[in-house]
Amino acid sequence: MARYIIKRLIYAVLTLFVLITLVFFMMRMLPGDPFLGEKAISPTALANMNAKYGLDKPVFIQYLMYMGNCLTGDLGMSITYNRPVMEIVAESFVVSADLGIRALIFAVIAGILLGAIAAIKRGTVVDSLSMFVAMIGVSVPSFILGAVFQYFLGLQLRKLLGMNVFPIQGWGTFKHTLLPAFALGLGSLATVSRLMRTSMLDVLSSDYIKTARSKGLSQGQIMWRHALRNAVMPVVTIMGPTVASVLTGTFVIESIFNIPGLGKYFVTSIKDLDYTMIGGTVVFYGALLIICTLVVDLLYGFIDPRVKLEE
Amino acid sequence: MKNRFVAWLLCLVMLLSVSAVAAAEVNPNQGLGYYPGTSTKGSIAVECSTMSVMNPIKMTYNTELGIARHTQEHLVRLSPVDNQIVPGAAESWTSSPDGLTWTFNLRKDMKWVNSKGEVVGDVTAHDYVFGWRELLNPANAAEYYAYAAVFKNGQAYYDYASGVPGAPEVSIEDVAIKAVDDYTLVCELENVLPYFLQYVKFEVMAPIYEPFYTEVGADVYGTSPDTMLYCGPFYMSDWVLENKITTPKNEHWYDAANVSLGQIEWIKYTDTNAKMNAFQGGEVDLIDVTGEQREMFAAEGFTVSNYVGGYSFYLYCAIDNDRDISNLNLRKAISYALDREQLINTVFKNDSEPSPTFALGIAGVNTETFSEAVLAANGGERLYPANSDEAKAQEYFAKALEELGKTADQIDITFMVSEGTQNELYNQVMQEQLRKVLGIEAKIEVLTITEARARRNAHDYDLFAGGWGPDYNDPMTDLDLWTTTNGNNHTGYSSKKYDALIELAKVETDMVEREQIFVKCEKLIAEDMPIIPIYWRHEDYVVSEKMAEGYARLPFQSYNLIYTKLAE
Repeated sequence: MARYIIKRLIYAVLTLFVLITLVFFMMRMLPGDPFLGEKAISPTALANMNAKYGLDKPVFIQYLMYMGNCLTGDLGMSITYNRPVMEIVAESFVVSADLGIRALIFAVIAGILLGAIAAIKRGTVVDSLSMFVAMIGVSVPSFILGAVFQYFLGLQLRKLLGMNVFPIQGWGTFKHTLLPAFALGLGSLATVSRLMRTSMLDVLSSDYIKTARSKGLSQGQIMWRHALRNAVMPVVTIMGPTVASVLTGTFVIESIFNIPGLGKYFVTSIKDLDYTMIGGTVVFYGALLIICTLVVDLLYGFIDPRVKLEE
Repeated sequence: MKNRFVAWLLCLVMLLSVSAVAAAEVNPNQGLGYYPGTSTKGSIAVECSTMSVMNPIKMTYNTELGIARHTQEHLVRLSPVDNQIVPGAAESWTSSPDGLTWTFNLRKDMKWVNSKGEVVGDVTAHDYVFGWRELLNPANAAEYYAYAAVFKNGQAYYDYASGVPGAPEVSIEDVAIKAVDDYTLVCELENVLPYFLQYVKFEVMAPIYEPFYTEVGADVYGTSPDTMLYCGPFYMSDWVLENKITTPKNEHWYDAANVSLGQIEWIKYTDTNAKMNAFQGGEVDLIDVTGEQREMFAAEGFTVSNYVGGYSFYLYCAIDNDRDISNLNLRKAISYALDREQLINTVFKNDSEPSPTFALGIAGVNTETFSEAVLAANGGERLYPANSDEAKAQEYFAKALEELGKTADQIDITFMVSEGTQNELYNQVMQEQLRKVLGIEAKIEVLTITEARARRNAHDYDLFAGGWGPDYNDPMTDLDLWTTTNGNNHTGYSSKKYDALIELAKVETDMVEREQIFVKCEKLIAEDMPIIPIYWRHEDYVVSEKMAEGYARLPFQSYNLIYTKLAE
């Protein structure tokens, strides 16, 4: 077990190293430089700016310096913002993670409930309705859902009732998190509920449920004690990819609802050729995803002892 | 008798000062009841764009400068009424007869406040000296350092301190900016600069309180609200990077009694629909709108305001090589073939104007605008047609084909375009107009903005749509662009005649004569056509009914909200 973890950690570090190297040289191959604005800068001023950010040295030396700094956890100063990249990433990731976790909680709880109810009430209107919601979640991308929620639940509902039910945009209070979290979570909710429904149907037709029924247990007891707990297993196994998709999917939602998260820096830093910021966001998300996969792989072993964590 | 005279004079002064507040913008939609605006009492929320840096000496973006205008006090300001220079931190100033030495007398009631609005110290002449010196400090790598390089020895110091080979030793003490006492600032210029006060007004020329600056450190100063100080009508209390800045009213500002706004929130939007929803839902009071949104508001009967920021748009032509576009007659044919009015109506759908001349937003000496002086000197004729002039276009085109020894279908022209839906459409319309009038099959090449700029700077393109916004209110800001050595002249245009005119303008002290030199420059551009001017941009915006009057949007002050009065 310990050997496995150490091996996986070495792989993780190697992956990160390759990722940083690739990104470093790829962004240097992009045409232009970070100070290429609309208006020209005098050559002396440009030289001073390059010197300030170490861009006056040969690229390979810059690479070695960058690697060295990464080892000490220093991702450098953002060229656009004049502040440490780590500070910006930390500040904005807290917001993205907050939104992501809310969306995830909503997706999992509502998804499990919806899936379970659909299975129990199989073939009824409730079933069709739940699966209709799931269908929308799967087929409509979050940025359309976001825009639709914003327009109807934010703006039109406000006009209709004459009161502020859901804020249209912004961040800061609990109310602000509702619409974006719904929009972001609905896709995952759909996946969870469909999976839950199938698994629940499986479980409901199994022998031990029939036994429980014949023992005279009440419907509620059967559902809570026997059906739900067993049916929920497959949902746990898809948590890894779901977490990743929710955390990386916040960008569009952040843009629509004007939320100060990390997502926008992915796009703007490349547009501005802010080398340190591009590197910082990639390293951070790279490390995050590598850790997430590792943790989920390890969790599998704990949840289902049949999964062997060796070779 | 004398008393009565003084009383009349006082009345007049009071009247003038009252009208000074009231004569800026007045909300055209007052009382309609469509969009009442934000609900927080006494404050407004306005849209802004990039706000990456708040240390004034490192600022480059329009919104950043706009926030500095509201949170810092420069020696002089621009009036929200007529865009003229008015006293700011300096109550009065004098210049020596040769125009080189300037003495500013500062107000004695200015205070530095922190991010909580608490007084930290007095604003003195030393703070301006220190701020301007920091602008010249190469370690800060300030993009706009050149504003402080106009002082005697300024550029020499900058070069020496930057380690330019062969630059003679100059110390910062040698740069001619001196605080004679706490409230008197004397500075000496290297050359006569008729628009020097426009420089002093520029937002990067802000004061800095040295004790605080040294305490937090140069690299940290201005990276968050509590790592900088304020001395303007507002101060910054909160800043969420790339999202929102909050500036409450500074009660310690000298004219705070006339500021009725309690707070301004500056919000950056990344999505135009979201912004629109926010405006309609009362979460923001002032937003810029697109041509489509403008039509939507107009259909509702809600008036959209617009202002001229001074941005003049044109096609750069790379002419210093053997491309087809280096042929003058071909460029003239293109200029006459383009239908600028149709272009504006198709792409921008607003009040933007077909450029009659190049420079925009600059005041004239005896006319309201410099452009009027150019038109007057040209017999009232535009230098560039508003609509396509097919006959003239064909005439120049025939000459061009002969000189190039080509047929129309052999003409090789590519529009280099930086990506963006509207920008691509803009170029497609021009492409179509050339096809229709001249029968040229021009190509379009779409690139990212950075790549396009890199190719533009290397003169590796045929036609590239660009624009220029003036930095100060003088024709020089626009016209020295096309001198041989100017870093912004990406066309390869090099005319001894043009360079000589600009040099002449630099030393001419008679303002009327000087303007005539600039008029000659404008005409020379139209003659040699290194650029093909297309349109003068008007920016559309809507204001909620909460903002009654007193705000201004003008060239060099895209936002001036200081004296905004709210609806009752």
